[in-house]
Amino acid sequence: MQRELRIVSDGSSAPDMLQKCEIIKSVDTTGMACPYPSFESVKAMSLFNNDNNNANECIEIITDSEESAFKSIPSVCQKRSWQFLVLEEVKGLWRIRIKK
Amino acid sequence: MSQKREDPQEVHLVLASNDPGRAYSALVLALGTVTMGAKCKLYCTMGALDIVKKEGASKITMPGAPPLDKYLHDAISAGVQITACGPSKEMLKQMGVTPENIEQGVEFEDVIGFLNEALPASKKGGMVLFI
Repeated sequence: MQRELRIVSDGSSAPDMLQKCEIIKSVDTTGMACPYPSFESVKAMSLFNNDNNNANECIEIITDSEESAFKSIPSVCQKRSWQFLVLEEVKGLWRIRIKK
Repeated sequence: MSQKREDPQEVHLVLASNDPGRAYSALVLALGTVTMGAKCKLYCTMGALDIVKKEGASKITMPGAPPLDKYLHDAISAGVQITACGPSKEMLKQMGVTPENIEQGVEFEDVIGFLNEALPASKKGGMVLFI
């Protein structure tokens, strides 16, 4: 059973909905150097490049980088007009959900 | 929702050295640029040709980071255009660079070719960085 994760930052019009989205791809970027957590986010989001995206689907990026979780990935999402949600799993580990 | 499509901003990087401190910076900037949705071109001058030689980038390392060839291949597959300075066949030969031993996806270009794209890009608000 999935544990409820704490929302620590959001850039979404409907954060509750994004939290319940179906994760179609999850990328673990823990330990990766800059700019890989952001780069992998964009790569994973290329799954949504067609027009028939399901509004209930998102990707998830796992990071242990505070900079990536709170600054870099949100900046990339804002630049590309994507919705995002930063969830804290434990101290120092975040799961970021992203959708178009 | 209709969004007005604008030309992406362009970042043209000039890498002048095989030194890891410069080469890593250039490729990190290149990956960051395409991640932000901008267009990126990396021009390797004569002093940076080891990076584009086959197996060359794998020999460039930095403590704690993956070898530079990972960055190079990721950049190429993410659409970063990488060109290598090719002023004359003789100069390239002297430096041990041939069309056969250059990384796939890398093209030769002289300084005029570089400026031919960098000048209009900077006029439109693009960035040209010398590393």
